Amino acid sequence: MADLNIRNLQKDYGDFSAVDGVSLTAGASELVALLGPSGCGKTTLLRSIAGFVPVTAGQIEINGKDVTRLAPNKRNTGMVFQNYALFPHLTVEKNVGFGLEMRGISGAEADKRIAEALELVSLGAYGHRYPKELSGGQQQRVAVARALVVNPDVFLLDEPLSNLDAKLRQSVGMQLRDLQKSLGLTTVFVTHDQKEALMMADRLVIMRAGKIVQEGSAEELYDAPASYFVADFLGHSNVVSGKVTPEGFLSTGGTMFRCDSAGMPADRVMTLRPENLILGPAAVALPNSFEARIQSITYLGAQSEVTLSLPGGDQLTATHQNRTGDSLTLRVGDMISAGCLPEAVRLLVDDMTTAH
Amino acid sequence: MTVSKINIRQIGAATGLLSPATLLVLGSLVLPMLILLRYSFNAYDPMLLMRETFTLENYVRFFAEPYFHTVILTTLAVALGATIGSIILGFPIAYFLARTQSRFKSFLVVLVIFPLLVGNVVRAAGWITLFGTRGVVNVTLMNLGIISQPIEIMYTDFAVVIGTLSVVLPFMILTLQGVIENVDFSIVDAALNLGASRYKAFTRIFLPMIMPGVLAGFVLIFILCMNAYATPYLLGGPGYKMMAPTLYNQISSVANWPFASALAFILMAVTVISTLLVTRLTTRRRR
Ligand SMILES: Nc1ncnc2c1ncn2[C@@H]1O[C@H](COP(=O)(O)OP(=O)(O)O)[C@@H](O)[C@H]1O
Ligand SMILES: [Mg+2]
Repeated sequence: MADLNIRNLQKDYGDFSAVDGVSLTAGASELVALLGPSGCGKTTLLRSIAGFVPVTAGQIEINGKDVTRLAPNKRNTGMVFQNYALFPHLTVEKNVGFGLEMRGISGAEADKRIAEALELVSLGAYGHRYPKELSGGQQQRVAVARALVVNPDVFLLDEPLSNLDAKLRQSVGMQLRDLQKSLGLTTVFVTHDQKEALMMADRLVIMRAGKIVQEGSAEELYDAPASYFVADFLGHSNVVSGKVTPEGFLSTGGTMFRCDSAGMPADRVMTLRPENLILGPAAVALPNSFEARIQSITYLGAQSEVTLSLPGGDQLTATHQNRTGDSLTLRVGDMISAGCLPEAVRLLVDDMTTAH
Repeated sequence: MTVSKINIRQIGAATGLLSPATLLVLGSLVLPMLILLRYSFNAYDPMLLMRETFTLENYVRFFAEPYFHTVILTTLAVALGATIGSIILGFPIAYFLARTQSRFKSFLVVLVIFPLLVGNVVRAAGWITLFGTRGVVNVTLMNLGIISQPIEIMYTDFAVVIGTLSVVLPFMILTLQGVIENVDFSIVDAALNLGASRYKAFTRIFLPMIMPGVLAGFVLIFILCMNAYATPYLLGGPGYKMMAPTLYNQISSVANWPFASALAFILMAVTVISTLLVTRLTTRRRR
């Protein structure tokens, strides 16, 4: 499998940049997820790789070869479209065989590869059906088989799980990932769903307004977001406004959150993940500890989301793990101890409220 | 029991609401047809004009006289020529209109519809000034020295086909535009992604996908052409051998209602049979 190398890619529509100076690499058999809110340019970037978007500037290399100006049919990428884009007038077999036919592969060799590809996605028995006779999940697998049967250099997926119902998403996602790993496919995967990205990707690339804001492994991005946007986009975060002091962060409500603030500029915001806000007696001994009133409790089964109101008026949400036999009882209106470790307090660039 | 009572009442109400429309359709469409059908089995009498009887002689006459064979064959040929011509000429325009992102798109669509605002007869008059022996085409060709004598374009099959084509072209363009706008072009992209050239993606994926829509357009326009009256009459001359002018001739000049009625039903039958045939032939290989 090959690797993909994108340098300073730019795509302008008039004076609007859909992709704005993006540099990105995907190593051999690496699964890179492009993650970002709707309209941030993910599809445009993916379609540029496939050759459907004439780019304004920059370079795309596949396997060390510059393909920036190459027609889509000369690039040998395998793309799975968001709506699968199956050929409605052809059977599953003919859909999967189309790429082989275009490469002049026919007869027994083609039949064998079609059968293998369909077997790979567990659709061996469905070769004679038409796309409209399949469920959404099956159509998605046909699209995958069709893209893979030609041994593409780069595997491209545009929100491949978004048209499946929630229950299927997890298992289909894992199957896709297993397939990608076992075949060693260099893959770029587009999604706006952080759960999908966290579950599947070797490396996450977070995009915003045509630009890459941060990239790294799921753990790196979740634990050390570079900005408020990333912290908020990946999982949930409490955001507290206030100012940086030598001891930590002093909220506008007057609560002091101790943390390492050495060398921090003053105009940062503070974020705190709900799961790092600890409730009950265990919180009392923590370096950051305070009494707060329970404002609301949302029961979610395994966890409850507890919204706390601090004396100065700040609001924080905590995720509380529900356990059978837990002595801690939560009641709306009660006062409770809450606290967190200094490491859990993050002082981040505020790229959400400032103009962007 | 109450359930069925409600149902009956609902059906009754629905029937009540629908009946004016039903009656209108029945009165304005079906009834005249039935009357014509009955006429077609009557006999023509120079004195009485129409004599009540039950005879097949009108139909027999049509099939016996070679003149009418020419008429129906010309009708089929002109209709087929104009329909296929309108697909060939209309497709690129329809494709452009369907795919353009231009701000002027709706203006361009109006341009396509515009000829429809000009009546058939006026348009035919336009063609006459173009095609006549001293019309634009002949004068130009003579001035260029390409021809020395004016060529006869008016009152030829060519003039009728071109004239009919120009009448139906806007309808064809609008039909095809609708068909192409409904195509999901990511499917064409998928073909390119799989290594198909633009040509292969077009012939192997795009064309088969739009085929049912094109066929619908074909049938619609073909029916219009089969029944064309004014254009063949004006551009082909009063004696032009197409069904609609011939039929009207039977009524207006000889007042032969029975034979005209028979012609109407033959025209209808031929139209239905040929559209079914075309549909069958082109859908044979599809499911
Ligand atoms: N053909 C186009 N013309 C103008 N703007 C476009 C075009 N295609 C995409 N855009 C714009 O580029 C931005 C990025 O679109 P897209 O890549 O589809 O986003 P995403 O896939 O992340 O939701 C959007 O604001 C969209 O409106
Ligand atoms: Mg998208």
